[in-house]
Amino acid sequence: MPPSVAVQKPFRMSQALALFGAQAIHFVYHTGGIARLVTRTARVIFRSRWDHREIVRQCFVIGNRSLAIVALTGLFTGMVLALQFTIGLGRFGLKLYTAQVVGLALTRELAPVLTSLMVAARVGSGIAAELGSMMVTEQVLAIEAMGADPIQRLVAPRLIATMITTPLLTVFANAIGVFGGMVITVGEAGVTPTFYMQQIWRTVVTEDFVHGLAKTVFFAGCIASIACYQGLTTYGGTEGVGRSTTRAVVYASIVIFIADFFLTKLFILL
Amino acid sequence: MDALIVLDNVAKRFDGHAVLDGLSLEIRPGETMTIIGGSGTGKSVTLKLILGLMRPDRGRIYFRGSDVTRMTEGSLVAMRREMGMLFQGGALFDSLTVGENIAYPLREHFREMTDGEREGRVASSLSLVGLPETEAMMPADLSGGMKKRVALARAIATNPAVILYDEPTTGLDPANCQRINRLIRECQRKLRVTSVIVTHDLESAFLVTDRIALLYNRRIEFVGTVAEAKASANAVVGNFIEGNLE
Repeated sequence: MPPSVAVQKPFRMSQALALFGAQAIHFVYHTGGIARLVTRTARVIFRSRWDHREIVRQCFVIGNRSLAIVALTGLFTGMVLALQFTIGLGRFGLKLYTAQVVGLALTRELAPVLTSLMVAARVGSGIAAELGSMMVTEQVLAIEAMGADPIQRLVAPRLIATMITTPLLTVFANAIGVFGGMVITVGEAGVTPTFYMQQIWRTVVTEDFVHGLAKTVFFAGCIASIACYQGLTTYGGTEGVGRSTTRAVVYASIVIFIADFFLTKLFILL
Repeated sequence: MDALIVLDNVAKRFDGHAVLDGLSLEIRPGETMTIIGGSGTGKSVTLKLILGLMRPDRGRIYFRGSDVTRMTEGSLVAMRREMGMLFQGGALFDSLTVGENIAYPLREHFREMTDGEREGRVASSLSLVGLPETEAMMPADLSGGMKKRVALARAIATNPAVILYDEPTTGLDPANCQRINRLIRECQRKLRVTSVIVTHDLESAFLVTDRIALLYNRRIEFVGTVAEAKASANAVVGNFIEGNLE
């Protein structure tokens, strides 16, 4: 039976403050942990020899994991954008400009952000689960016990590979999104494919494309760092692995949305 | 005889909870020292401290007279070249084959070694643990006993001076326990290594060890030979041997 109102403990301000304080400490602790991991990884990347074979293997794994989902996301984003803008712009008699809006929205914003979110979901979760499992089965300790550095062997190749692969996946998402937009625009706005592509080439400049890709390099660094940190701080068996995996995806997604705003603003100012 | 490994007044805490407090122990070259004690008494932590995988909060640990607690990362790597460790669950790398697992420490510690030499060392290590021609198998295809044997092959591949065993017989059936015990004795005889074993399996400990140390109440309660342990008037030792002490 639920307790009556009379016996419920009154809400105390001190409890709320304690909860807020605990969350703030938790946030600062983990942010510091990620910063330390990134610093150590950067030192390893710039000072040690790169494990090229492992980086190529990781690129292949990341590409393989994400290509289909990125293609699907890109295609339907392009299609739905075209569909919405043919309606929206049609109200002002501007249906012919659908290609320009689709091209700009995709290259500057939607393809980079949605691709990064997909990478966070597919790759970030994979990295956190893999490293988390290695932690709870003492494989990470075994690497150290055999005289190797887990940062060099595990973190650096995954970070580099994610930062290489995510922009490439974004290029692919741009292309397939533009194609999806074309299919819908040709059907809904009555333009020819050649006209659609000409409009895109005229409107989308190199700067739009490069800004979008630059953002994904930063997002990829965040995804890999957060996922590696969550993986390497896993404890508590399989339950801990599940917890780390969820956290990696949630935190990376939040960081992508927040960083996207500030990076967009920064690129506009530059 | 000078000790090879010395733990001097070592203390270690986790989240404010003391696991070890004032632990002192000397391990002589060539001997097999078994550290026994109940679950959660800090036996595995002791091995990780010896290997420099953790740093103690207080006290000193010496290997060949050098202070492990003050070693640089480079010195630790050099020390680990002389040590092999058999982890409790084997800790084999899931993504690598049995052969690649055993070759891993060889690649780290003997970069000058040719592929042929490395393959030869992998094959001889696997033969020693009774698993010849299993190089191409994946860890997922191995039974629990086979995983432990592959992990032992990986620990001995570098011809270490010291092998650290973390619960080598835990989770194994009696036949596999016997096999692992036999392998530990063979490693002692053939490789002349110093062994440090942590276990709560007394039967195995009595079979393979030269001396026993009982870890109780965060420190070493007793050190002596098997005969001395069995004849000990120490109530804690007696209770542990009779199974009345957790």
